[in-house]
Order: sequence, then structure tokens, then C-alpha cells
Amino acid sequence: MPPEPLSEGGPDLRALEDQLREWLQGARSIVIAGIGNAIRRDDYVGVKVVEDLRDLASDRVRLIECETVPESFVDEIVNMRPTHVLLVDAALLGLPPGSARLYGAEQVTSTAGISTHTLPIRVFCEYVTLLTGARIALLLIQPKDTEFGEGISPEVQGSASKLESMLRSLLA
Amino acid sequence: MKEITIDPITRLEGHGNISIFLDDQGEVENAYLKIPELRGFESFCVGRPAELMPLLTTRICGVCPVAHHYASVKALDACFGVEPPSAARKLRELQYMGYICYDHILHFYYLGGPDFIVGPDAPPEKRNILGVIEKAGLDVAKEVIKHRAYGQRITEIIGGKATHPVSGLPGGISKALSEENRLAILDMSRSLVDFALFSLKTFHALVLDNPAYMELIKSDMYTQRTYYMGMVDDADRVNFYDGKVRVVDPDGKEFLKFDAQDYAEHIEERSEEWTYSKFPFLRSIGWKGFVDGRDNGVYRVGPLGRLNASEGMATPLADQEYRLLFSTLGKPAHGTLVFHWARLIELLYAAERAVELATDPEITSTEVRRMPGEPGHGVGIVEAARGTLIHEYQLDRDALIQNVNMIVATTNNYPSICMSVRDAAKGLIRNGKVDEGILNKVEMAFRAYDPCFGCATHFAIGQMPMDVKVYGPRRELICHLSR
Repeated sequence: MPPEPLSEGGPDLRALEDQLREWLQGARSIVIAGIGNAIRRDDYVGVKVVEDLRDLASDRVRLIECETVPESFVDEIVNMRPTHVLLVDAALLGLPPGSARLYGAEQVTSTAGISTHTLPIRVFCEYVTLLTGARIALLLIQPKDTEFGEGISPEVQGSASKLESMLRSLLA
Repeated sequence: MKEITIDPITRLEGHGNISIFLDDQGEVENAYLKIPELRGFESFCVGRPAELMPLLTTRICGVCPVAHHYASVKALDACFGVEPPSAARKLRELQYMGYICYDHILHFYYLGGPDFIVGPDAPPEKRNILGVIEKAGLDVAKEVIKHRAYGQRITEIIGGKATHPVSGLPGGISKALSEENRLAILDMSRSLVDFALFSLKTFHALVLDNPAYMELIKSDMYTQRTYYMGMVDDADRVNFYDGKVRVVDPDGKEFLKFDAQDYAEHIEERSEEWTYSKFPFLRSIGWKGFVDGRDNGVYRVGPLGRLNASEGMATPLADQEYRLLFSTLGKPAHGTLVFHWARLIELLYAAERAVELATDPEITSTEVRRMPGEPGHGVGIVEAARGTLIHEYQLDRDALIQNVNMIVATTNNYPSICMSVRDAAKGLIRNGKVDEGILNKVEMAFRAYDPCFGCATHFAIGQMPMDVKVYGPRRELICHLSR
């Protein structure tokens, strides 16, 4: 049986922690923004991680629960003058549910969407970079189920808890 | 460097794809916009307490939650047979004006408007706020951010939350407006009026003074002679929050005017096997396929639909601009790209109306709720930023949801979006020659409507990738373009 993604002390979790630690070097002001839809099960995981970090909020660490519209929080993000912005979101990574990876904003596809309805994530990242000069990264988590409904699947919830602990220790 | 794609499942709202079919001569025979995903939001709601609906429906779409919130709350007013006090109606409308401001600013500066601001021939990755900054400078971007935030702040003050409001209740609203907040809203609204005027001035300079753009706007490729629908007040002027729904024919003459509860007598929906989204049409005219003209019941909603279906704007500056639009283009204006101009006129109206409401002495009244009656059936209609939005609920005697029907703005526009996509393709593809360039122009037809397939399929929200397949006369795939 393959090991659970992000198992305690497992290679994925250690690698991710190292990457996050390195990415956070020199961070003076950090925004952590959770993205996701509350009624689409695992899609909510990004917001859940941020929700669970609420007590960590300080002048140095700002938390934003963006739900599905990070672009609506640009004003707030810019006003915080962050050096680092971490977006936490669910994404299909082609990995087992609950797996998580850290990507630089420049690694997100630059393709533009036809829809006028929301800002493509890459454009959002470039926009925030232009306005703040902040480093931007995405902490992405593979969902299991994104149908309409409430509650996060056990696999994804388990990873969310580990990521929360990791962020808590890195930001302490 | 590794490049990744954030998959549709979370950030994208579903793969709408366009299939274009060519005939033996390589000319466009037909084109379809397909929306293949469906998740049953309506069935998700069945059995839930009625009072949850204004909160649940805001999650359909993160961009238009205020519209869903108030369509839902108005449906519940009707379900419980309760009329909100005058102050509550005004507070709801004031909040709504904040929403219209931030939504229309989003479209014009970030999303669809850059087709004009940056230019239709600019690369797709520039036809957004980044291209606007490059062209107009960072100071303009800061004004855009500031005023979009003002719209959100107005909705937050009254709605309790900026993104997903919680204040609307059957029979009224949960809290009154303090004097301090009234003054804050008034200041922001006044600034929004100035910003709307600036935006219109920009539009005049970039578009109206540019013969090439005007030619594009008036071209057959972007013209549909349809019916138009929008909510109006007692004087037939545009109203987003309340009034009767008015429909005009392709010559601009009033064809119908009806109350919310009668919508089903006038609007019928049909299904096609190749898409999950339904196609609404005017019942008394009937469905004749994807053609325009007075013999087909296809109608358009949204900024263009509202302005065409009305006789003016209820605020002075917006009304002046309304008259300029129709004296320039004739009434009704049938050009799909006119949506952009109409949207800016509505931005000005919403800002002016917010000033009016914020200076109304009744707006700080504490009489903001009446007790609901017994549960039953009800319909609520508002004008969402992108068009007429209908919620219909049937409650059981315990006020649980028995049945839900929604017709959302993009669904109303779906037949004409399909026609616009087809006509743009027809105008561009000749002798079977297809290239990346067609995407820009097809996109422009599509983007003017500001479609929301999150709403149309009651799906989640996000960006939708472009996926165009062109088929030859024997239905063989000859070209696949995607972004």
C-alpha cells in the first residue's frame, strides 16, 4: 500500500517544509490567502487551512479567506505591503488526494481564459507582484471530491491539518 | 522551467467549448458553444431550510453573490407573503448599487473592457488589467483598485461581508445603517460618480473617437436583431432592484411587461442534446432556432438588454449618456459590442443612485424588518450585473425547500451568445483558413456578454479556458485551438 501523502516525517512533507522554509527566507510581512468554495467539498481546503490558522494573525502574518474571488482582495493585499504572498488552493495535480506541492507564481500556466468572469490566477499573481513587489507562491492541494456538498474528505482534511501545523511552526 | 496548469476543477468554471463546422467550400456552416458540465445545484437545495437559500445561493458565484442574495431574499419575501419596510428596500438597493459598481468596474478594466482599452489585436495575455496598466499607467490602476474596493466596502457595510452578504432576510434586512456608515458610503459614492465619468471619458476617447472601433461595433459580424429584456420602474427607466420586467421587440416597441410571479407565463426554456445549459425564449413568440429577428423568441439581457428595454436612466448624468448612446447608434442598439458602453452608463447610474440613497433621510431608519407570514411559493427577480436573474421557490409548511428553479442572466443570453459566436466565426473564417487570430474576434463577441458559466450551469466559479474545434464537411477535426 502506498504511503499516505504528506505522512508524518514522509518525504513529501519534509520536502515541502524545506521548500517553504527557503521561500519564506527574509519574509517581513506575509499574506496567506485561502481560495475555495465552501459548498464544493475539498475545493474548500485552501480556505480551511487559513481558517485554522486564524489565531496566528499578527502585524507580520495576515490571513485572508478569499473564497472563490482572490481578485476581490487585491486592495487589501496591496494595503498590507507584503514581502511574501502565499495562495493556498485546491488544484488537480495528478497526484493522490491530499498531496500538496509548492509552486512559484511564474510556474502557473500563462494561458488566458475566454471567460470574462474572473481574473486568471496567473494574471492575478502578476498584478499583485506589479503592485507590491512581493514574492508569490501557491501551495496547492490535490482534492478528492469537488461535487456540491459540505465537508472535506478525510484524506484531504488530514493533509490540511499537517499543512496547518507546518505553517504554524514555520511562521512562529 | 516546469509549467503547470491549475485545473478547471477549482479555479475554472467549466470547459465551455466552441465547435465550428465548415461546409464543402470551407465556409462556416454552424458553430456551437457547448457547456458540458452540470452539477445539480437546485437538487442540492431541496430539503434545506428556506432561510439558508440567501446564503447558499451566494456560493454559486463569487462575482455576483449580491445578485443571488437578493433574488433569493425577494423570493422569500414572496414565499412568506411579507413586504419589507421602505427603509429596508432602500438599504437593499444601496447595497446593490455597491455591487453593480464593483462588478462593472471589474469587467471594464480587468476582463472584457481591455478588448477595447488595450485593443482587439493585442495578445490575449495583455487584454486584461496588466495591459491596461501598461497602456494607462499604474496611477490609473490604483484608482481602479480604490473604486472597486469602494463598491465592495459599500456591500460589506450593509451586507455584513464583502463577498458573501448575510444581511438580507425575508421581510427586510438584519441591521440598520449608522450615521457614521452613511457618511462613509456617501463619500465613496460621490467618488464613484467621478470615477464613472472618468471611465466614460476614457471610453469616448478610445472607442467613440476611433473610426476602426466604431466600424467594428456596427459590423454585421457583431449584430443581432433580437428582443431585449430588463427590469424597469414606473416610468420605464432602468431599475436593478425592483419593478416590472419589460420586453421590447427588435424595433424597440414594448412587447411585454410582467410582474415577477408571472415570469413562467412569458419565458419558456428548451434543452438541446449537446449542452447542459437550457435556452430560454419568449413563450408567445416561440423558438425558431439560432436566428435573430422578430419571429424568433430569442431575447437579450444585461447592460445592452436593460438599456434597450427601457426609456431612460433615473439619474441625470447617466440619462444624458443614455441619450448620447442611442443618438449615436439608434434605438434599439443591436451591436453586441455596445454592451461595453451600456455597462459604463450603468456604472454611472449605480454611483449616482448610491449618492441619492445615501442622502435619503429614511436610509438610517431603524424600522428595517417585518415579520414573515406562513411559508408558500414565491418568485424573486433582480437585475444581476449581467442580466435578469430569477429565483423561484416552493416551500413546504415547515419552510423547507420543496422545489427550486433559477433562470440566471447568462442562461437568458445563451441563445444569443451562441449566435454571436457563430456569426463572428462566419465573418472570419474563409475558404477553410483558420488560425489563432480568430480567437480574438470570437472572444470579443463572447466576452461582451460577460458570461458566467458558473451561474449558467450552477457550477463553481473561476476562469474558463478557451477550446475551439473546427470540423470539416465530413465532421473530421481539422483544427483544435485551445488556451
